[in-house]
Amino acid sequence: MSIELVGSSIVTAATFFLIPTLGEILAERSGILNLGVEGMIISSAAGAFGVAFMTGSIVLGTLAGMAIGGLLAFIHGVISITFTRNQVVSGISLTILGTGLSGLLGRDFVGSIIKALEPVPIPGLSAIPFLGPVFFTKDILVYTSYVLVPVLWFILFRTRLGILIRTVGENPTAAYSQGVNVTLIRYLCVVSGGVLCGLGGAYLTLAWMPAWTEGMTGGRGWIVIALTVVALWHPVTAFVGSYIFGIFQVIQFSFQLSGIPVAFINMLPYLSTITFMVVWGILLSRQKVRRIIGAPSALCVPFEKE
Amino acid sequence: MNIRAVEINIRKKSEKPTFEASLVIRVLSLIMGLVFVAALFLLQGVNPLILYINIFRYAFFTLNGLAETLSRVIPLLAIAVGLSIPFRARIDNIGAEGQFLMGAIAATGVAFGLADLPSILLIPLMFVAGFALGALWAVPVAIFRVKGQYKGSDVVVSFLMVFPAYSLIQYLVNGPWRDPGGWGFPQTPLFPENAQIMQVPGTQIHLSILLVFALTFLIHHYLVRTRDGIPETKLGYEINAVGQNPAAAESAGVSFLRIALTAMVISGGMAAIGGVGEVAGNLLRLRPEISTNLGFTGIVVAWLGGLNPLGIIVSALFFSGLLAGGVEIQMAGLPVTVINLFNGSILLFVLLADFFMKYRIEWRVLR
Repeated sequence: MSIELVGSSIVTAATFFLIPTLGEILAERSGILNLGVEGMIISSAAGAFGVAFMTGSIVLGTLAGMAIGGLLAFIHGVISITFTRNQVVSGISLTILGTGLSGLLGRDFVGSIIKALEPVPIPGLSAIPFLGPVFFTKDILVYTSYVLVPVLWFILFRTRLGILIRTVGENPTAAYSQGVNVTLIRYLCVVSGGVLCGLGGAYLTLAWMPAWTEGMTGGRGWIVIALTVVALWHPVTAFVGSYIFGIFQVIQFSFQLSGIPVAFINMLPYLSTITFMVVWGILLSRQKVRRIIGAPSALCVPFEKE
Repeated sequence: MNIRAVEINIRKKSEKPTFEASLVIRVLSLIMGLVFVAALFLLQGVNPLILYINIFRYAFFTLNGLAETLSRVIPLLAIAVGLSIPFRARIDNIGAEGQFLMGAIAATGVAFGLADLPSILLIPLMFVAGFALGALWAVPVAIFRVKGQYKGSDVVVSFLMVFPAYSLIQYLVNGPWRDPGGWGFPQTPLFPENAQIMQVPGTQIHLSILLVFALTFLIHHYLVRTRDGIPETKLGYEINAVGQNPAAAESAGVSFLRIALTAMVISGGMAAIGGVGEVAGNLLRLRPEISTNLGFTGIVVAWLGGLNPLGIIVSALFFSGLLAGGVEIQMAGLPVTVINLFNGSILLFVLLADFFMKYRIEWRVLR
C-alpha cells in the first residue's frame, strides 16, 4: 500500500470521529452530557443509507441522517433539560433505542450497495506532493469537517453566543439570574450536537463504507465520548485526537496480515482510551489545571429554576 | 379570537410516593413503551397487536417457550440484581456485559485447567473464579467514579472495558483454547462432564437458577430491605446515602470509595456469575456468541424493577419472555435488534415516570 493511500484512509477514518466529537463538545460545553452518541450515529447511518438508496440522492441521505440525529438528541433534551432527569441514564437509553431504530430503518437495505460520495480534488492544493492526495483529494464531507473545527472554535471562544454557552455549562444559576435563557441554549447545543452526530453517521454509510450492515459502528460512538474528554472540550485538540484514533483504526486494518492476533490489535483503541483517561483524570484533578482548560463544571448537573 | 395563556408550575412533592403509586406508574411506563414501539411497527407495516400476542403466548403459555424464558432469566436476573446496587449508589456501571464475559472466561479456564477435580469441587471453584474475575473487571469503574474529575468517566470506562473482554474471548477461541475437533469453528471443546451444570431434563434450565434466586433474596435481605422507608442494614443505608448525597455521606464518615468498591464488586461478581452459569449450564462451551448484549438489557431490567431485587425478578421475567419471543419478531420479518427498541423506549418512559413521581405539575388558565 502506498503511503498516500494509508494517509488518505487515516483522514477518512478520522473524519468519522471528528464530526460527532465536535457535536459532543458543543453539547457538553453547555453542560449536557449526551451518552446517546452511539445510538444517534448508528440510526442516522441506517436512515441516511436508506434514503440515499431509495432516492439516489446523497444530499437527501445526508439531510436525513442529520435530521435523525437531531431528533434523537431532542428526545434527550426533553428528558434531561425539561424534565431534569439523570442525563447518564437518558443517554444510555438513547443509545439502546438508537440501536433498535437502526435495525428497523435499515431492515430493507442489508446487503445493498450505493455509489460512495465522490472525491472532489481542490484545485491547486491537491497538486501538493503527499499532502494533496492525502488531505485535499477527499469528498465534500471531509472538507466540511476541516471547516467545522475553526468555525466551532470561533463560535465558542470569539462570539457572544459562545460566552453564553460556556457560562451555561459553567454556572447555569448565575447565567439564569443574568437573564440568559438557559433552557433554550442547552436545547440549541444538544440538538446541533445531535445533528453533527447524524452527519457523522451519514458519512459512515455514504462515504466511508457505502453499505449498511447491522451494528457496523462497532461501539465507535463511545470512542467519541471518550475523545471529547481526551480533547479537553476543545475543537482543535479534538481534531488532533480524532486523527490519532484514525491512525489506530487504520493500523487495525493493516496489521491483520502481520501475525499478531487480530484480537489484540482490536483492543488497542479501547485500551489507549482508558490510558488517556487515567492520565487526563490525574491532570484534571488539579483545580488550577481545570480552570485553565475550562472544563464545564456544571456538566451533568440538571438545572432547576428557583 | 380568544387567547388564553396557561401558567404552569412545577412543584416538588413533599411526600414520598407510596408503593402502589410507584407500581402503577412503572406499569404505565411499560405500557407507554410498548405503545410507542407499536406505533413504529405500524409504520413498518407490521401488525403490533398480533406480534405482541404471539410473543407473550409463546414466552409464557407454551411449554417450550416457558422453558426458554426461564433459562434466559438466569443470566438476566443475575446481571440486573447486581447492577441495582451501584445504581443505588449513583455509580453508572454500564459494563456488565464485559463483567459477564470475564465470568465465562474464568469458568472455562477453571473447567479445563482443573478438569480432574470432582464436580462438587470444580463447579463451586468455577463460580468463585468467575466472581473474582468479574469483580476485578469492575473495580476500575469504582475508582474512576470516585477519583475521576469528569462526570461520566465511570460510564465511559465501564463501557470501554467491554471490548477488551470480547476481544479476549475472540483470541482464546481462535487460538489457545480452540477445539481441535471443531472443524475450525471459533469455539472451545465441550466442557468435561464434571464441569457441566445439571439441567432440568429436556430443557436448558440449569440449576444455577437456584443460586441466582438465592443471591437475589440475599442481596435484598442484606442491602435493600427497608422498614419505614429506611434500609435496615448499615451497608444498605450507606449505599443509599452515598447515592442521594455523596457530600453529606462523606462528612458523616461514610467513605465513598469503600462503598463504590463494595457496590462494584457485587455488581461485577453477579454479572460474572451469570456468565459462569451461561457457559457451564447452557452453551457448555465458550463461543463468541455467548455475548447477546444481556449486559445492556440488564440496565433496563434494573431500572424498570425500581432498583429493588424483588421488583427486578418481575421485570427480568418480562424481558426474558421478550427475548424468548424474539423468534416471533424474526418471523414477522423484523431484525432481532428491534428488541432494543423496547428496551430503549421503556427506559425513557421509566425516567419520565420518575419525574411525575417526584414532581407535581400545577396549571391554571389565565384570562
